[in-house]
Amino acid sequence: MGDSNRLTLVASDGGKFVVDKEVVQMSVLLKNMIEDLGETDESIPIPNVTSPVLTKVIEFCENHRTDAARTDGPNVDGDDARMRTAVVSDWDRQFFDVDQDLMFEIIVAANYLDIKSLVDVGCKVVADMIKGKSPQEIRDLFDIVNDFSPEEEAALRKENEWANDR
Amino acid sequence: MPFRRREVISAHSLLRCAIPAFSDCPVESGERTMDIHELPAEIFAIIFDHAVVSERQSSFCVAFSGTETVDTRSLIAISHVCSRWRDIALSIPFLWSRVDTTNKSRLKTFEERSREAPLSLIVNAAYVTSNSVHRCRNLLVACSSRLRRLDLALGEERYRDVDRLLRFDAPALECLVVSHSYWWDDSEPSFSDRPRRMKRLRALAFTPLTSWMPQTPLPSLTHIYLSFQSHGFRQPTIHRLVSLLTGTPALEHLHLSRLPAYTPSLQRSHSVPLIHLKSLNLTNQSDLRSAAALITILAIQETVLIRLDCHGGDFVANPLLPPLPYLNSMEGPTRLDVGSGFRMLYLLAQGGRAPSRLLVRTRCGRFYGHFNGNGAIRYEWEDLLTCFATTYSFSCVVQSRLYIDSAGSAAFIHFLRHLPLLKELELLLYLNSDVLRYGVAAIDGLTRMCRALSDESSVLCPHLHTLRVQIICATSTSLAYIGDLKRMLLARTCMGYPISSLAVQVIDVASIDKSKLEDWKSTTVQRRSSEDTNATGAMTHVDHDLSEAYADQLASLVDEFHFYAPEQSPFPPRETGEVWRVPGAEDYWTLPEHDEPISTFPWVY
Repeated sequence: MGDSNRLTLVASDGGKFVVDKEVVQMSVLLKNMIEDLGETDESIPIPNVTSPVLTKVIEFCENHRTDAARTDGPNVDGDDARMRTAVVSDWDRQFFDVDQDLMFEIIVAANYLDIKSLVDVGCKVVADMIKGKSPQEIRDLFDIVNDFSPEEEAALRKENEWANDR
Repeated sequence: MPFRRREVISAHSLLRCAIPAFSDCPVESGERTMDIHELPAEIFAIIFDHAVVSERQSSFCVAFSGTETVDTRSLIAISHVCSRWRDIALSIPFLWSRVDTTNKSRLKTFEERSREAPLSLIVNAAYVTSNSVHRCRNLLVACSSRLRRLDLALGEERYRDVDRLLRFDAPALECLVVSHSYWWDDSEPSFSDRPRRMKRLRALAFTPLTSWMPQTPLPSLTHIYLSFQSHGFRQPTIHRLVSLLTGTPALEHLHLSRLPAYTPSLQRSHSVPLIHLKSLNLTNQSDLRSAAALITILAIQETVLIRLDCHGGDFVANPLLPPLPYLNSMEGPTRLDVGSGFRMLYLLAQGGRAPSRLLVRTRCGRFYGHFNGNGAIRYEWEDLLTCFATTYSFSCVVQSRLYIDSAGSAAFIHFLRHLPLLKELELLLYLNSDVLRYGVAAIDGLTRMCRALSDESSVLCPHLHTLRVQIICATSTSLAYIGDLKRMLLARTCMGYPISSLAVQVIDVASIDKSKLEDWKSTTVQRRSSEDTNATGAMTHVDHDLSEAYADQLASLVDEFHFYAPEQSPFPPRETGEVWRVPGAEDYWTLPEHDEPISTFPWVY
């Protein structure tokens, strides 16, 4: 039998990661799996997450492992308050100082693994990138094509008339 | 707004059903990377929510001027990026559920897009002024069934119509903010507890008001902010306030701003049980006696944080003070910090049970000070400090930090006589502009304090075993301070009350920009270390000679001696503004600047 406090995660590309159970329990998905599996030496496959992304996810969970107790449980109001007031910390901002591709992959992986705090932080970082920008600036930032029809464009222009009325 | 996340989650669920094409994108393994197009719709919903939330929050200041508008620029920009983003944004009613009355087209659009979502509505003063009461009321009535939050700003012309405007049922209303800019004469509008059926009301703010406040029970209310006008305050108002509080048993955060002076006529039989209260703030120069008298009748838990940012009045003429929590309890505070600065007195008491604490920040008198019979200047706060010492019980205090300048040391020495069980004392001898202007060394205060602690005739603080001193001086006579400390240590040892632990820090700020210290409210100056010789700010001593001189003379007289270099921070601020930001207190609004917690106590070096 191996260390009962640790388990092995296997990324979609075969990469293996030995981590503390306490750390990965920030993931509701993995927490449930561990509870279902009980004591076992079996590796847990993470088919939707590549090694580079899983590395980052584990890094986040390691750094926030002490937060787990605070966010545990279905306290909707408390969770709400946290979302509303929490500012992205310097560490979290540094954590997401990566290419856009990797940033979005981390967010999607966090969503799949059901790690609420990582989803929230990632979404806040993206939201901060959006805030204060015009539609065209957002398109340029994320390489998005303007696919509105001429009729829709006309409707948007009309909206802009009152949108800027402050 | 503890409802927001629930709604976003709910919106995600709806979204998945409504727009199947936007459901989760499968994430493939391998080398391919991801761009924003592949994010699932539910992630977009969270991103959009975060993008607009700060703009929504920015409109929630309780100091509602009447001109606030809901900043919708990010939301509009999001919905104009591409057809997918627009579809997602339009499918989340909650994103469109906060709107103001600035533009009728926008109001109509937001009403439609928010569908049945609970609505937050800002009614600007301009709208109320330019439309008839009937029209304004119709607007409110039309959305009253789903009105969750109403910020109503009233101009001078409309304030007397408040009762008519609010005459509707509001079964979903959770937050009501009414503000106006009208300064009252003696007459007031009638107000008959509208809107009706506010059983779900959780947050109520009126700013400013005189005697006008609801009287019907509000059993769900958790937040109250009331801002008063001193000249319009009438005696019966305090009873109406008590009546309001009596009907709010779930109250968690009570904030009264500019509570005026009144003749306390409240009896303890009025006792108002507020067992859920977490924070109690009376700020913006509220009257200290009025505040204390009101607090007296509140039955609250020991863990409530109490912040009194008040005006003290004339304590020479009337030295009586009402009782205050923690300061009157049998157990009393175990830690007490006191500081003074010109007309200000700061007192921070830590109750027996964390996180209970009481901060009193009081402005005293009308003048900086007056001359006593001996021709020495006496500051107004000295009278208040004496009042505190003689009125309240500090017999349980074992730790204390005193911020002292040379002028006020006598009052602090007297104060120490009321701390019989004191074991640990920190003396922070700070500068003020007098010190620099007249060349008086801060050491004067330490000299007097050492003499008092050496006085054989009446032993001061017999249990004192730890003394930590920070000397901020404006002269280069740092070594002169050693003698006072040495004589005091020897004297106390001879008396049988030795001090076993001593720590000293000397910071020479002789080269400081003196203009910074002329600000009598508060001063923060930058220290610099010896390595950082090019930095601006205070010149500091870190030479070994000074450290060795102190150690040679003093270390042998105590069991433990420590000399701190200037760049070290052995005396971190115990009271910061953040301490008083109780989680949840500003869920519904942000405080105006004059009601915010102070960030210094009282001088920070």
